[in-house]
Amino acid sequence: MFMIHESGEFLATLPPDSRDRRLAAAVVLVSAAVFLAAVPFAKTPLPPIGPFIPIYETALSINDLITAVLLFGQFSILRVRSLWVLASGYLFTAAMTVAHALTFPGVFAPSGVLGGGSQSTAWMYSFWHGGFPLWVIAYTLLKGRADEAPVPRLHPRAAILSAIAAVLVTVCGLTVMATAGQDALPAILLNNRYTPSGTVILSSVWGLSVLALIILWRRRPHSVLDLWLMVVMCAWLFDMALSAVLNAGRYDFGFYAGRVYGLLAASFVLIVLLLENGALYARLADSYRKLQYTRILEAQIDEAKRTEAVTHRLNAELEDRVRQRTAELTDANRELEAFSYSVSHDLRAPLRAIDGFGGKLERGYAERLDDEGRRLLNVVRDSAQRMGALIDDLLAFSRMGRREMVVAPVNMAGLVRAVADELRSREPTTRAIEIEIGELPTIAGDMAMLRQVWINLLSNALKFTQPRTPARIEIGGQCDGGEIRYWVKDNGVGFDMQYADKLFGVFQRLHAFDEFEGTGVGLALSQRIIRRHGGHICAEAAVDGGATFSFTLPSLPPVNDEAAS
Amino acid sequence: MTTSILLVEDNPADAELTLDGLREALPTITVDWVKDGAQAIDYLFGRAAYTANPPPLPKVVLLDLRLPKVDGLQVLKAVREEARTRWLPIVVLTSSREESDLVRSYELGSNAYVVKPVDSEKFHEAVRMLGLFWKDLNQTRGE
Repeated sequence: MFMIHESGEFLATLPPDSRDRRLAAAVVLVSAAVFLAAVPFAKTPLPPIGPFIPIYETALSINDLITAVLLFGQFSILRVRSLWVLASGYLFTAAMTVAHALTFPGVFAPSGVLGGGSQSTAWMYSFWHGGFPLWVIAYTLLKGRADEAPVPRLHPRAAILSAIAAVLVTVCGLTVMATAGQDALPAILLNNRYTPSGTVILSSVWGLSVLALIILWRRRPHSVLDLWLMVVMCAWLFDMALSAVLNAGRYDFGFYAGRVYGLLAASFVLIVLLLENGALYARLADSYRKLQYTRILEAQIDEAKRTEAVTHRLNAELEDRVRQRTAELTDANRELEAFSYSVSHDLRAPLRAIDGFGGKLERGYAERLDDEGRRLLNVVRDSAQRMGALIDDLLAFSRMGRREMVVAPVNMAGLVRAVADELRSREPTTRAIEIEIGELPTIAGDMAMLRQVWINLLSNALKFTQPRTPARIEIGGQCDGGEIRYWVKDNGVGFDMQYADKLFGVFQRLHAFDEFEGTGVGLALSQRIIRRHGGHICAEAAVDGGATFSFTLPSLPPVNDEAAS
Repeated sequence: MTTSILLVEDNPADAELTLDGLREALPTITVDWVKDGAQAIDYLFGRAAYTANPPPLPKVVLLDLRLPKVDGLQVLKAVREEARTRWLPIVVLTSSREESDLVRSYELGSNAYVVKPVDSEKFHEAVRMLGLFWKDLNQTRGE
């Protein structure tokens, strides 16, 4: 819908700026000057020009008609009664001009085409010039009233049609009165001279214009339309003063000059309205462009909002799913913990019983068993112990995944030396073992976990070098870019690289139980620890060619002395 | 003064192995065996079946954690809240290697935490050493 009902958008509501006021004042002043200059010659007779009246009145009528159309146009937008009345006023003058021309003697017919008599034309003039100020007064009194709401009852088209009908009826009525009824009216003009009653009538008509001007002036605030209507009323006053009051009769100087004024007067509002229409069109085009732009923007905003809504929804769904999954995982984890707790506690009790009662059997009843019986009992007890070790390792492996890491600088050289000493002390003193510990850079990590890695790697090295004399184990470390590589190299039995991928799996073993003991959990556990530290572990070996296990860890960030102190 | 040891253990096999170890190490001592946490509390507080003839406090309580009715940690808590038993030596003897069990036990005031070895010889040895230590070496604060 239109959003320009705001005051100040239209001629009828726009307050005049100082330029408008100056221009209007200048026009009135020039008109007044010309009028004063013309007054002394008002009565000077001039020859009658036959086509003057039809040409002049046609121009005037068309002028007023266009003005009326434009005002009706503004009315249809603003829908205020005052504009409707004023447009009707202009329509009235347009129609009255036509009727006046038709009654003018000697123009189309010696005594006019509408019949009537010698006074018809003068009365038509009086009705015409007396009527218009009344419309202006009506307009003035209606405009700006608080209750001058837009006309809601009638559609603008119906309102305009009814105005046209009313105006035409009025004009017809007045024409009939001036022609058929002229005998009932006092004479205005006799022998091309004004009668005394004619002077009174024309002065009254003139007075109506003065009244209209005064009312217009007093009814503030003025709009641009009001301003130019006042100019029009001034011009009307000069027009009538020259052509109907101060002159002597038809075709004198006043008669001609006054009518020129009338034409000018009719043009002012028309010109202003045309300018206004042009400006209105420009504004409309501008608004339309802005509206288009706004629509594009709105479309983009809508699109963005839609996208945001979709994103929001997807996020919410995702969060829901994450929450659900987390809850599921938490449950699963809790179950797993309960499970491993059961394993830890309940599974070992029967094993202990098997082994313990096997032991009692062995101690108390050994003499009643033969060698095979004792061997079988040993297998039972060994298996129970082995299963106990498996359960312990499995639980350690499971715990390692769940345990919180405590990261601090770890002195690897000291750690490795301690582990090596401890493991070596468990070996038979008869074994020849050479352990060479090279440079081992300090690292940030979980001390207990890394200790477990070294225990696993070194005990493996000791285990698989059992057939070697001497067993040789080299331990070293080296910075390599952003990480440190540590390794344990032995001269043991090694393994087939074909099975290297099985090495780090839980319970994966590459050797028979009777060759080398072990549960097959140690390397899996080591890999888990190294991965949790952000490193990786690998092995290289050959059958009977020794093995090298190496792992990397991210190197310690440079020590900041200030932060450390 | 009679010297006794209270064993709280629901598994008869474990109980038998434990009793074996204790008897071997301490042939003269009385070992009383109860099979759940509720009985343990009744024994220590002289309630229910023990009201008529309340037993004296033992030299040490060997307490399993997973027990019917009232579990080991609850027993520990109850014993430490009671003035008479506040200083009673309690050794948690369990199959659990869970860190949480160990931490909770010490938090509730256990004097030691021993994981039962699966290997029967090691288990036997552990029980023997426990008995000797708590009967003869350990000094406790009396009432």
